Amino acid sequence: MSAGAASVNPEDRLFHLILALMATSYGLTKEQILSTVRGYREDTEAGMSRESLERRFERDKDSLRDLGIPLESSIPPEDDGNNKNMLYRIPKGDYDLPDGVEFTARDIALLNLAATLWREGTLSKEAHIATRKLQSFGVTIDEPLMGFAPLISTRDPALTALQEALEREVQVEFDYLKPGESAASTRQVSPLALVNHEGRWHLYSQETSTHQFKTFLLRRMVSTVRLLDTPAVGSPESVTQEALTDLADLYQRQVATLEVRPDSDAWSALSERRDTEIGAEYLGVHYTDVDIFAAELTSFGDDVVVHEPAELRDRVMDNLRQLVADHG
Amino acid sequence: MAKSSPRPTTSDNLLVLLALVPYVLDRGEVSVAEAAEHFGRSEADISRAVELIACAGIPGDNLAYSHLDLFDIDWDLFEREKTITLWNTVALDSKPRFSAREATALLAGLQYLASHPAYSSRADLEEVMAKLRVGTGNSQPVRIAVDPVAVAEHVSALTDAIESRQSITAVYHNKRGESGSRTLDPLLLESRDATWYLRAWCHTRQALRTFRVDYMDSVALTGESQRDHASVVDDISSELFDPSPSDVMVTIECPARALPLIADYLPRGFAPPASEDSVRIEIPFAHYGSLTQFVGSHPGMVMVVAPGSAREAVAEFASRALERYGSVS
Repeated sequence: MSAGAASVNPEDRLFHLILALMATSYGLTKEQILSTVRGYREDTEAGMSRESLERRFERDKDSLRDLGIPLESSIPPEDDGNNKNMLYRIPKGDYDLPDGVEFTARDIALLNLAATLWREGTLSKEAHIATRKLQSFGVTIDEPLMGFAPLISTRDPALTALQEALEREVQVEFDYLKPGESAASTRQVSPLALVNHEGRWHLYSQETSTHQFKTFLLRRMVSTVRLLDTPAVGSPESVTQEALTDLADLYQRQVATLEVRPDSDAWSALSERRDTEIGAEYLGVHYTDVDIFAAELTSFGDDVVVHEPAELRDRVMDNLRQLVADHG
Repeated sequence: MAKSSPRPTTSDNLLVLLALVPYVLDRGEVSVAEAAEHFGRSEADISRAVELIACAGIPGDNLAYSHLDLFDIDWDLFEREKTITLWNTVALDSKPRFSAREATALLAGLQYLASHPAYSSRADLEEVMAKLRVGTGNSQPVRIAVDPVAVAEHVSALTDAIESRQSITAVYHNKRGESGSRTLDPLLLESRDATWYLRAWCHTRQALRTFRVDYMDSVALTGESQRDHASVVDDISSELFDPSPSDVMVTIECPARALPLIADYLPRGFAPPASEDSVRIEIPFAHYGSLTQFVGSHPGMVMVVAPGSAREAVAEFASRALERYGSVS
């Protein structure tokens, strides 16, 4: 870099790149960008190597796409296959909010609240970008909506990969530990929807080998999720509803008979759970996943004794024995 | 909100630039101070952004960034009164549309709100969702959904108490096995995974405390107004449990892959060590009741290493529970 000509800072360069790409209707070649757009031009003139400039341009393109900016690239039909003539542009019609879409102050308050649900984990970046975009509205938000601040947990490591698979509409493969089995098996599925039920993430999918619809608990995926090149089958409009209904049915079907010490935190938590039946001696408590419920019951210690089903009772007893063994 | 924030990233600076232009156009004229408040940035940040925009433009036909191809602001007004108004814009003059992923996050969030008792009655949610779909040009089905955890009617009562700033009384069962009635000023409700937590000012302890909503019984509004807790509310951190000097430090060991599952318990700023299969962490616990609950909910995953008394507490907790199965055939 030549002395004197201070380098243009990155957001300045990116801002100018966006302006240039939005102003062009035909598109700009890389050559045109590197030699004219503020930030590139200065460094080109200062003698920065072509290679460094090109690498920077690649990174900048990634940054823009990462922020959801619709950057298009095309090769004009007359020079087929010649990458040097690749044209870049940001179609204004794809960038701008469509005409006629107006959000009221209340809409924006609700949208902001919707974004805060994702303030941790996988979707937090998208939520943050959306919040910034909402700030482009000059309306004053006078309605306080806070009072409760739900947080949707997105900590499952598999969530990011599955979300990407949904977007790219490709099949995935992962090792899955079925409840009650000690060895994992490899599954190949078309992901259809990600749903959060009872605070936990599930993948609703169609298994490739059997064509059956299956729901997998993300926490039971014991390998990384591998994205395949095979296209996924399409999902119907109502797919998330179907997935949630399936899980709700399972919750309805599975009921445990528990003896719970009155006046304990266990009693408070379990008796207030949705659809709990309170009997004279026992509580009938619904659950979706036997292992997860067993772990929860284990945490209540001697305040809870499981009577039925045997599968759940065995699981809790195994957990307790494991705890004794680990700490004896 | 005005907590010391980390240094803004390039991406965030760029997002502010892109939103600031339509924001100023919408407002016509806006003070730097107000814009700073709106964007949650310092006035210096906003002034820098305005200066950058004011000198920005496109290369233009002669590739020289001539004045016709540049943004322009009322410099006089900006320098004398710290007020922003745009005289000319180039290329960028509209609010940005939402990308498919952003719309997904917002739509799934709105759907979640729509099924929450505090918001389910709001017809405007449907309307916002419809607008958002138009605003994205997105006709794809939403493929992420959240089923709100059905909670006790407590959540509605607590939401009422927060909104009307009333005190409540409730019976609370803590992990020491004690139950007692308390008077609380509810300040904030938060749900994590399947569990709801209430941050409230506890009249007995005269301190801000975190309560699990499902460990509460007999929640009743007292009709008494809360005291002024504005300063306390500002202090509520994102960590559910603030360490206290009387806590016992316990060393636990767990597989690195289990760390996301115990994130709520990890010490502030904990950075998982790279490339290690298992990790040892020191975690403060108020008493062994909450330790045994924590270890018990991750059997075979979380193991107590030290002190010896903590290991004994867990072993004893589990054997006592196991003994009760002696009578179950």
